[in-house]
Amino acid sequence: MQIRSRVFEKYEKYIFNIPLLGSDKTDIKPGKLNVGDILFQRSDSTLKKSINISEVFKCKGAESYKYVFKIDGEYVEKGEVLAEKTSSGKLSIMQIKSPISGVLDLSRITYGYIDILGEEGNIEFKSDFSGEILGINPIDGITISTQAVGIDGVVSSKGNDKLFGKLEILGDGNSILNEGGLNQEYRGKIVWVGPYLYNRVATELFERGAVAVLTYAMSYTEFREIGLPIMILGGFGSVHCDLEFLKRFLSFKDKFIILDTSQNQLFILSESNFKNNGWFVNQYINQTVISRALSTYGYIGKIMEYDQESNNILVEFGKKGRTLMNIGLVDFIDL
Amino acid sequence: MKTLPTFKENAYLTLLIKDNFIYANLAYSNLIAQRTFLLSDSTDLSPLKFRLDDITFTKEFWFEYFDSLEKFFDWDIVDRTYEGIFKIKGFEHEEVGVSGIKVLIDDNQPFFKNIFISLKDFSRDISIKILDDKYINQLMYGFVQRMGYSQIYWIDLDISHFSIYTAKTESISSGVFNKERIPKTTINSSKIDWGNEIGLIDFIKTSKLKSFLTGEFTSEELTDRWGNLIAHSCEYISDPLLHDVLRAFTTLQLLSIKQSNSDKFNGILSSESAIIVTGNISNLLTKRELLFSLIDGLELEGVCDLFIDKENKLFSFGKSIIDKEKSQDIVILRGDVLPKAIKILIPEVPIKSKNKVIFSGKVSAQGVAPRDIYAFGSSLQILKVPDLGEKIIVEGQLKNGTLFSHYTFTNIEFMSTKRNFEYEELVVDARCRPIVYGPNPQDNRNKFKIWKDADKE
Repeated sequence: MQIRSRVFEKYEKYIFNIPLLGSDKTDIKPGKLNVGDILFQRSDSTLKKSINISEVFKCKGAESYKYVFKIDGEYVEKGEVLAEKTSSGKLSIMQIKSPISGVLDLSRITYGYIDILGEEGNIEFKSDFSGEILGINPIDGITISTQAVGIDGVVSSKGNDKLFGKLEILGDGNSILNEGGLNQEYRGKIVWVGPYLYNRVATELFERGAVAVLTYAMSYTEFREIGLPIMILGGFGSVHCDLEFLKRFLSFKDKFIILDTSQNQLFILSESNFKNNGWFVNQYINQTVISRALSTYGYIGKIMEYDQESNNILVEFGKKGRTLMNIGLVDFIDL
Repeated sequence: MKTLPTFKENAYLTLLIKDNFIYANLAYSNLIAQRTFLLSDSTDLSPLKFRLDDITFTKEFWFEYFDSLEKFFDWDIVDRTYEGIFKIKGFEHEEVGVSGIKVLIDDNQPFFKNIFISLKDFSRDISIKILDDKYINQLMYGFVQRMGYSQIYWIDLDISHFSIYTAKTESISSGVFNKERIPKTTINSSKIDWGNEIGLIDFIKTSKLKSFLTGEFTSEELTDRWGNLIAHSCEYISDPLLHDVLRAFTTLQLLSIKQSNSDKFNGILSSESAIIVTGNISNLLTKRELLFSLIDGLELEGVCDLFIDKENKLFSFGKSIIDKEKSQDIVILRGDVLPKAIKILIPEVPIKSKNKVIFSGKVSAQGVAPRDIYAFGSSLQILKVPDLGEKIIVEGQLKNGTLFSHYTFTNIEFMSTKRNFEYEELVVDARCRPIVYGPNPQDNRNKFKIWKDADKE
C-alpha cells in the first residue's frame, strides 16, 4: 500500500514558545490570542556589520565563542580587538579588530557570527495569527497554541534549536539569485532564496543578519561545509522545484515561521482552511505524485494509467510530458 | 466427528514494523481442504519519518491503515460494531475475520517508543511484540532444528542497519566418559548501525568505498544522488549510479563486519549451510548485484542454500513454521512462508579452466526428458531450475579441475519439491579466486564485464 506524503500538513494545535530576551516587554496574558495583538516589544538595533569568526579562524562555528574577548552587549570602538586565536605552535596570533564602533551582539555566536549593532529602536511584534496563550515566563518565553502548517526538510546544523522569524521571500521566489542582488538587512527573518542556493548567497544572508535560510535544493558538499542553519525542502544537486509546490509555498510570505532543527520540520503559523487527504492511497489513477527518477526528479504530476502486472505507471508531468515508470520511483503526495 | 484444533480453518494477521516499513502478512490455513496461503503487503512509512513522533500519528492513522488493508487484501479484519473502538472481527471463513493480530516492532525502528505507545492506546485486541536480538536468536535456534541445517547465516540488510546473525550446531562430547555426542548450537551476531542520516551520506566519500565502484562519477554526483536516496528513500532504483553505489556500499559494510568479527564468521559454507537475507536492500538491488555483495563482502566459499525473503515473512511467521502444530497463532505450511531457495556453488576454479565448462549436470523429473545444464569458468552464472513437475532432481558435477577448497566431494545433488521446498535457481560462482576489486573504477568495470557474463541454461 502507498502512503500519501503531506507536503503541507495542517496542525490544528501546534504548541511553540517564543523566547523572550532580557529587554523584551510584553503585556499579554494567558487566554485567547487575536490577529493584531501585540505579542511583545523588543528593543532592537540596526545591524552595522557581521563578522564570521569561524571563517576567519578556520574553526567550527560552535567553537567560535572560545576566541571572543568581549561580552554580549558591550560597546566597542573601531579598532578594538574582538577576538584572538593563537596558532597551535603559539608562534603567531590572529586577531579580529572591530571595523566600526557599535554594540556587540553575540546571539549568533554558535554559528560563528559576531554582530555589531548600531542605533537602537523599538519593534512591536504583532500577531498575524489567532490562537491561545498558554503561559508566559522568563524561561520558556511565550507559550502559544495555534494552527500551523508543517513542511518537512533537511537542516544542515543539528541542535535542539527552534528558530523563530518572519518568512522573507527573495525576488519572485522562483529565480536563482546571486549575492549581488542582496541589498538590505535580514535580522529576524527566515529567508527563502529560491529553488537553488549557492553557499556565497547563504554566507551573505547570514552576514546581513538572517536567522535561517530556506531553499529547495543545493549541493550536498556546500550544504555540509557551510555549518549554518539552512533547510532544504527538495533535495541535493540540481533538483527541479515544481511550480505546484512553489505557488502554495509563496502564499505564506511574511508569515511567522518556526524552523525546528532537531525535527527537520518547518512550521508556518497560519490559519488555513484546507483539509489534508487521508493517509492511504486506495486507487492510483489521477493521484498526485512527485518523481524520484533521475530524469524527472522533483517533477509533480498525475498518474494516468497503472499496469498491475509490471507495476508501471504512466505519469503526466505537464510541460515535461508523459513518462512511463515503476511505481516505486514516485512518492504519492497531498499538495 | 470434531475437527482437531490444529486442522481448524483459521486466519491470522501479523504486522512487522521495521526500517520505516509496515510489512503485513495475512496467513490463511485450512489443512482439511489442503488450502493455505499468505497475503503480503509492504507500506513505506518514510513519508512520515519526521512525523512518527507527532500528534498526527494517532488512532486515526491506525484506523485508516486497517481500513486500507481490508480493501487491499479483500478481507474483513475490523469489527465495526463499536464506533471509535478498534475490535478484531473474529474468524468466520475465508475473507472474513482473523483469529488474531500481532504487531512486531523492531527495536531499531525510529521512534520505536511512540509507535509502541500509539498502538497500545489504539487497541487492546492487538498483541504487541518486540523484534529484538532475543526474538531473532529464538528463530535461529528453531530454524537450525527444523530445517536440517547445521549452519545458518541470517543477514538483515537495510541501508541504515546491517545485522548478521549466525547459528552453528556442532557435536560436543558429553557424559561421564565424554563418549556421548550431543549437538550444541552457538549463536553470534554483529551489527553496523547508522544512527544519523548525515553520517550515512558522508560515508560515501570514503576512499575504501570508491575502490568497489565501477562508475567514474564526480564527488558532487555521488553525494547529491546518494543524499537524495537517503533523504527520500524509495522502493525501486532505476539510476545506474545508485545501483553501483548501493552494491559497493553493501559489499563494504559486509566486509567490514566480517573483518572485525573474523572469529565468528569464516565464510566457509557446507552443504548443510543456509543464508537467509531480509531487509530492504534485497528489494533495491538486482539479484546478481546482491549475490556479488554477499559473496564478496562475506568472502564466501563452498556450497549453500540462499533464501531471499523480500516480504520479511520469516520474521512474521518464522515461529509458526518452527512450532508447527504447537503454534499459538496459526498452523501454516513451510512452503507458504519460506521463499524459494537458490542453490549456490562457490568452487575454486583453476586458472587454466577459466574458459572451460566447470560444472555440468542435468535436471530431471518424472515423465519428462532430462535437461542438461552447465556453467563456464570466470563468471557468476544464474541458472534457472526449469519447472518440469512436482518433484525435480538436479544432479551435477564440478569439472576440469574445479573443486571446493574445503571439501573432497565434487558432486552436487538436490531435490526441489513444489510448495514445500522449492529451488528456483542454481548459482555457480565460477570466478577465479582471489576476487580482487580496484584499484580504480575502470579496472572494476573490466572485471564486472567478465563476471557478469550472460546466463546459460
